[in-house]
Amino acid sequence: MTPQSAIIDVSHVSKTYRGVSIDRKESGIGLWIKSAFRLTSNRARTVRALDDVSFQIEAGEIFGIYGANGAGKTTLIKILSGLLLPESGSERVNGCTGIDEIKDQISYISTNGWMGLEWQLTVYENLMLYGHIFGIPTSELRRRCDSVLGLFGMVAGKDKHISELSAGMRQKVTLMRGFLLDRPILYLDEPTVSLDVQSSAALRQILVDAARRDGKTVIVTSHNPVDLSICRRIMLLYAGHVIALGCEAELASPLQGIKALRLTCANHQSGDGAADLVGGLLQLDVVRDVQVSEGNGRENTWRVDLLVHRDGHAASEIIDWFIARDMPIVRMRSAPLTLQELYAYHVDRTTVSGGLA
Amino acid sequence: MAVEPVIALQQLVKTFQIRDSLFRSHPLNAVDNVDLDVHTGEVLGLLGRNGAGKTTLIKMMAGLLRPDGGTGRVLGYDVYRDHKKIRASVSLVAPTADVGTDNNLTVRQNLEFWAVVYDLDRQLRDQRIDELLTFLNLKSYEDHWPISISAGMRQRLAIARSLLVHNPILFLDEPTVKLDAAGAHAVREFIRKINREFGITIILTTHFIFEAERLCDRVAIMDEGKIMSCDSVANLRRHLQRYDSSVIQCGEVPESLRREAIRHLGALPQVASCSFQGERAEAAQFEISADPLESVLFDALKTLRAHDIDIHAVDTNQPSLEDIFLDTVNSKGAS
Amino acid sequence: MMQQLRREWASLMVFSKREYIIWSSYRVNAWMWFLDVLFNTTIVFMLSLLTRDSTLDFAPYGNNYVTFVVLGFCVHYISWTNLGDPFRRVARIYWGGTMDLYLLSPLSYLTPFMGIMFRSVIDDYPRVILSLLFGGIFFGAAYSVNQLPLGLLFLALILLSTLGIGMISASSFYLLNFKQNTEPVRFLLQDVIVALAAGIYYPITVLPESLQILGGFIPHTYALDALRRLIVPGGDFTTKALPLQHWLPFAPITTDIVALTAMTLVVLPLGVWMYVSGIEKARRKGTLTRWQ
Repeated sequence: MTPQSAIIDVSHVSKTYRGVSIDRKESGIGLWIKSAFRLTSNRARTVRALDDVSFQIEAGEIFGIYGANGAGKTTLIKILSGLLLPESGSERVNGCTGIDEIKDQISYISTNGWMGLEWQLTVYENLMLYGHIFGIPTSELRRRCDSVLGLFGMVAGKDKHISELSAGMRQKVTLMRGFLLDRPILYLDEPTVSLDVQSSAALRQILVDAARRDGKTVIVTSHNPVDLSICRRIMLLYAGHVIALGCEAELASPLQGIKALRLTCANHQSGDGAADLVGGLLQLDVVRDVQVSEGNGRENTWRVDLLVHRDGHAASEIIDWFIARDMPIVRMRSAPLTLQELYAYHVDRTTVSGGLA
Repeated sequence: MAVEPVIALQQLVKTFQIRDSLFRSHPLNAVDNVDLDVHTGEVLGLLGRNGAGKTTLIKMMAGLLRPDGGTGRVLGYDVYRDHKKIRASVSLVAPTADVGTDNNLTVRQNLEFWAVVYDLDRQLRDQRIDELLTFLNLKSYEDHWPISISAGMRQRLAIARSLLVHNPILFLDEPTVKLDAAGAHAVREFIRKINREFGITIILTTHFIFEAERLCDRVAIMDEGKIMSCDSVANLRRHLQRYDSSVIQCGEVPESLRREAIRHLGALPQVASCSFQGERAEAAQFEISADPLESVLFDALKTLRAHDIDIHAVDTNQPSLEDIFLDTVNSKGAS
Repeated sequence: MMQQLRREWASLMVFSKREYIIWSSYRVNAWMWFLDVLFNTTIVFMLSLLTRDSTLDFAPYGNNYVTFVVLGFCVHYISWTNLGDPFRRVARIYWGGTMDLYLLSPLSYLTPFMGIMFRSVIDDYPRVILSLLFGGIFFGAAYSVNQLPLGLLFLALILLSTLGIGMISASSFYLLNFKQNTEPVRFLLQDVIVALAAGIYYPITVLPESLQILGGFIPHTYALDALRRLIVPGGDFTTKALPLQHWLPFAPITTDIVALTAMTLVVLPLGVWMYVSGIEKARRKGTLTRWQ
């Protein structure tokens, strides 16, 4: 990819926060006196939220960011949307480098809390208000409001007050608000948090259409791998580092010789069943990794997630192992590796190889 | 179950007035004639689309909302008269975790505050707080302000708060929202643990349907204020009247062996049909339909292995809870 | 019963501790608070310099203007907390979404309400003591302490009666659905009548008759009247000043006690009842918190 075609170009961006920790022993009058007379606290910890992050996003791409809580996703997007200055490194967003211009390129849709929705106003009034704040002319704004209301299937609810909406509906309003601004880049921070299955699927379709039809660049972060299934490329973020970047096949390529087997077996043993299972299965040469957790509800089963080598007779060997132990398998599937498994692999790889300081 | 249900609701109704304009309003039945029994010690999942009435129902069960009709008893207390007692003996985690977390207090101070509000025994306080912090991996953050820890950590703090006292009923409204995969897994294990070890009855709502399938003994599927169905996942599956099927992909199977295998497989109890496909040697596969599949799958695998047939992959195909949910919610017009 | 009380008390304590930690974690705030009281008292002193040679008549309220105004401040600090604050605090737990959580505990409806008021209690009550101290140390206020028990009785009565009005004001949040920053009870009493008629800086006797009668409907008037008679040096126990004192055949201080007690007995139970009905109404309408 050449830098010319990239709508977002981030190179060597780092950011450090100073966190403040307080001592538990300090409380009561002691705390008061200390805090009243010591005007600054110097016992601050520093947290490296982003460490030398570089990547590019192409125009019209749907780009996913996946990472554990606290991996630096929020910091990254605040930098991308011009809300935060990086400590070092540079960024170019839609040809702009100045922080004032950058912030007008991105429509940042955060579903964290319902900040900025006016409670006394209706859905429609909220959208109009927000549009006016961004200086969209009224006639144009009306048109856009109608179109986003239609897009999110909220036409019937447009005159409801925000306070009458359920959590999921309120979230749709924050999403609609983001779509109101006609900006080249859409950033969605955990867009499906309180949406039901159908609404999430509808939202994914909306995003795909926005990218394909209107040429928008869409960036999505989510903990739900389904949300990221529409992404062309996914960036894995861990402790402020980019540990992998690519389409799902590329992320999985180091694990090409590996496939996943997921089975559920009856648990009619006494003793430490899970540990026995893990220990026993790891003895098999075909098995690379095993995760065992309790099965559904009160079924009294174990869910066994196996990563096995593709070549060889993995399935047969494992079935034989269960037959020999007389532990009935009740369900079994071979499914592709989940994003979380890929993430765990890449985290392991980076930390073991000493890539992280 | 012979045990008296902890929650027994009959014909429960809650109607809100929805304002259309300044002077007009129309009633909306947020909860519409709901009958529900929750048994002691079970995990009940409430599933439904946004606005199906889950939260309203939970609030009525927790005594935070007065029903407009019907009768209900929670822990033996009447939902109208004894709401004070109900409120004192249930716990709730709201989906907005930051509620009830004071940013000016450290994680530990927050818990210490709520421990007193919830009237936890003085002797137990420190021990219980330590226990929870350790279990939820918050111990190293106990002296941090909530504002400086991540959203997932704050969610755990909210869960820790609700578990300070072991009330007999715990309502979890989307407990794993905003948590990463590892955090969500830990919380699910924790929910299971408190359910088993302390016998706490848990009522949870979630939009991750697989989560309900994992955790819940029974699920109630709600739509437009009504409970469409309420049963264990296994029973709901049975109601779908679809055979579970399983595709077993095998290595090369000689003609004679194949007939033999089919004959044995077909003879297994509960097997409805059994077929073999695959002209090419490397893509041979058996397809078995059975009801329920669970009890025969292992025998089928044993049979194949006894014939020394190499198995490449097994894919059991059961309708998941998600299928059941979509089926229930979408078919209401048809039925 | 005893256990219930003990539990409520423990909760009140932990609420106060929480509010204290929060209050003390804003350092600049603490300094501002200290300076604020100092400046307020300084203004009093300046005013007293102005009025020293004037012919203004403070008749029954002795002869020390600084003490006169400092006492005015004391009653108003209490009023700001007890009357002015409850509505804002209830609004805070509503918007913050914690009302649900407080109700899902063994506490009574009233305990969280009292508990969350502690921020202003911590902020305002010490101002009473500080302003008395500053007045005395720096600006020549003098206090007559012969009638201290009676003074404390009036302090208690003004605390309770303003709290009662405060609860009426707070209940309008749920009962009448005032979700804005102001509501009529507080506005009318705190911002209009108290400012016009109760008189921090001047005796009520300088006002026109109609305003004096209006002032007769709020407890502050009687508390100020009595406290000034009792504590300002040279205060007069016999000369009648307020309209009600002229109408009733009792000694002025007795009239004050009667009026304040009557008001307390009306507004406090009314406030509690209205507050509880407000919450019950919210429980029916599902409007306990902003979050659904």
